[in-house]
Amino acid sequence: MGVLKWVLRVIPTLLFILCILAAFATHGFSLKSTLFSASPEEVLAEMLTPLNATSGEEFLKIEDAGVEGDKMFVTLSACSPVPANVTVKSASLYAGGSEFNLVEPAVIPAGGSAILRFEAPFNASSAQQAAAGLEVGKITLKMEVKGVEVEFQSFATPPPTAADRRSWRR
Amino acid sequence: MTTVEKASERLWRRLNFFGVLAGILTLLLPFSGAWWHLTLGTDGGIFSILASPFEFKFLIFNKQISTAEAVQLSPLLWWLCLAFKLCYAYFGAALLAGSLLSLSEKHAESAETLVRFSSLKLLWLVVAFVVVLFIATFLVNSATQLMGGALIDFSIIGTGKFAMSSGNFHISAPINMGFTSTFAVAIIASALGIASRIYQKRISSV
Repeated sequence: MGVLKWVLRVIPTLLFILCILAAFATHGFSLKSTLFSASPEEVLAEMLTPLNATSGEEFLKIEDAGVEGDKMFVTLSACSPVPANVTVKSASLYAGGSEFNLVEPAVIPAGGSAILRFEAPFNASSAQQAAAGLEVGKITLKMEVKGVEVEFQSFATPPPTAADRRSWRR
Repeated sequence: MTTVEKASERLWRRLNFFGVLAGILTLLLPFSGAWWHLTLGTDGGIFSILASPFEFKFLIFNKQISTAEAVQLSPLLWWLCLAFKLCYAYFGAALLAGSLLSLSEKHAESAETLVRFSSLKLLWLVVAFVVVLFIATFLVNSATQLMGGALIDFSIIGTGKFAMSSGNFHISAPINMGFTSTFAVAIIASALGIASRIYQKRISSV
């Protein structure tokens, strides 16, 4: 019985030793690469490659701007950067010295895009600036993705193209 | 009752049913999935951790980290998980063999040795897993309290919250944690393991 007890106890120990040896042997007996073969950032980047592939376009792009009745408006096209529906709960942006607010919450479908419409009360100087070429300043966005609330302010927005400016002068 | 029926009844009484069940469950547990989960967000969440002593899985938007990526993350951890899998499959097989071997009076002693050796192994693993989870959650909570800009408040069961601010960026999310049905199976198998040990003593003393 002594032999059986001994064998029973030795086998798990051997299994652990063999597995640890195998871990080291497959990584050139280097402690660093056996503990962490790649940095967490590298693995994360590799994991997120398929996610990033869906978001080749910029997250926000200015589509249109102008005046409608007693209101000025700016529309932005927003692409979902993640494979899940993104709800833009509230948003505001500064352009031409006026604060534009998101008219209503919008849902950006997974891998798709949606139009965000911002409006501000009419302001003669802002309308003139818009005609000369609207430059969007600070954008504040409050979004929700699968229960996760993300709020960020961006100061760097995509500059309007010449075609955009021509369309705003209409 | 005839002599044959009496002999048959005596034989069945010698079979350690608890051990057979515990052995089968212990043998299957390493391949039955996670024992505990943590999800950041709702509706599947954006990030999940599935953990058991036999595996750690990370999911981002329900996309599971591949085996190759897991090996890359920490080869040693991956190989240790494999060692745990093999060891517990071995303990399950030993418990099953011991419980079945108790039918034979000739091998009664070996049967007792096998059952005594393997019956409580799963119980210790369950206890160790819960203790490690408590320690890990305590350390994570303490670490985030010491660091500014982030807050993680969670325990091993229930809901918690995660919040992080950095410059113009703020993120907050609910965290859901809980044990899975596989963990319940592990507890049942542990209880059966204890019962098998007690029953084996009774068989041996008869």
